[in-house]
Amino acid sequence: MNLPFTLVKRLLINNVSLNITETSHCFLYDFSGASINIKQLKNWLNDKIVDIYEFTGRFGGITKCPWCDETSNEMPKHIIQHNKRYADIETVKLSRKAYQLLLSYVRNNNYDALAFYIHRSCQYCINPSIPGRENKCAIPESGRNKMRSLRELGFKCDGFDVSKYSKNSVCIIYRRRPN
Amino acid sequence: MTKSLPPLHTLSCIKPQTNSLSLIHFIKPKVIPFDLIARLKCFQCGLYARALLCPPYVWQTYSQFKTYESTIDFVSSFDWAILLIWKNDGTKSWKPDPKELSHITFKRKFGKQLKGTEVGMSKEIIHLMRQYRNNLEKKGFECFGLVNGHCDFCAGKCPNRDHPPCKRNGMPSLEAIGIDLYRLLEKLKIDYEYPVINYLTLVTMLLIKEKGK
Ligand SMILES: [Zn+2]
Ligand SMILES: [Zn+2]
Repeated sequence: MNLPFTLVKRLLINNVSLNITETSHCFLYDFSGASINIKQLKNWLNDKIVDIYEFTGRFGGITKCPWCDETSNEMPKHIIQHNKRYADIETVKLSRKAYQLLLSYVRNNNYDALAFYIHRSCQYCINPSIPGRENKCAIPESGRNKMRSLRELGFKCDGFDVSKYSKNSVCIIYRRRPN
Repeated sequence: MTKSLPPLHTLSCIKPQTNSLSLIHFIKPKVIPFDLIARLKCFQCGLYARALLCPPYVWQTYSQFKTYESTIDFVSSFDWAILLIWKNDGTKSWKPDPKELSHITFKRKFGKQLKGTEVGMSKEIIHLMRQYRNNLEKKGFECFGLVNGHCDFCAGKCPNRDHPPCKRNGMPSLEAIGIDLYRLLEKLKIDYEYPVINYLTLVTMLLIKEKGK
């Protein structure tokens, strides 16, 4: 399968630090709510491999709204009611494409692989959020590939320079520890 | 003192009524691997913060699973874990009594087609697990059951969904409490396919110890 991504960098994660600040809008960063502490998360990340990819495909059009499933020929106008911009549609599409990339890792014995944006952030939430779904995904049925953003995680590690990658870059973090 | 020999007489409580139960393993609870990936992947599932016995709500029913430390403490308080492996390539009936589905000719299924088999099997497995647990308790064991996927005792009509905790002794999944299931299967040299191509492998577990220990 030809995936619309080009591998631009492979790094072994060392000396990881995280600085999660913008947590209000998306449940994906509510680690304490999932009873995960940041130290555990850092331990999990250290010694893994990060493969950084640039998206080389095209986003194409969209007729079905990712936030309410309505069909519309004027999507840029339609999504204003959800407080979304056209770039947010691209973000959702990027996550769908990155899911294919993720699967290629999972199929190769990396069942612990996870996909991340470098710059963009999850757009499955309906801004700011739906009453009764605060700190949870506003669209629970949404795609399996709800991606976190390295930028929003405040992710740093040796040899990683976030400014080197474009707004459409994504990465896969993986590597099994030996049994 | 934990017993060093598996209590084989418990097997009579777990009769392989259904022909998709392919394998039973006795393991020591300390062999069970836990990994953060199980919890990180929970976030990705639509049942996160929705199902009563999935994270994070599961802790309102079973607070012992809230942290890694407390989970491991709880799991290692048992003498044995009985691991049940259910395999199906689409050709096996999932009903405890295969006669119930004798009017159906089961055909081999592949990949996504096995999803239907998974749904059918899971519905039956949870009832069998409850039966096994009751049988074991009658034999004098304290028992905690873990299932594949998510609890479905109440067949999608969970009466406590908006009012946790679960009052019907539901069973969370192995992954929901943080078990690294694939690693466990590999450690035990049990074949599985992920993603599924030719056959489905579902895994459930019964933690047991003699009552009053
Ligand atoms: Zn989100
Ligand atoms: Zn819409």
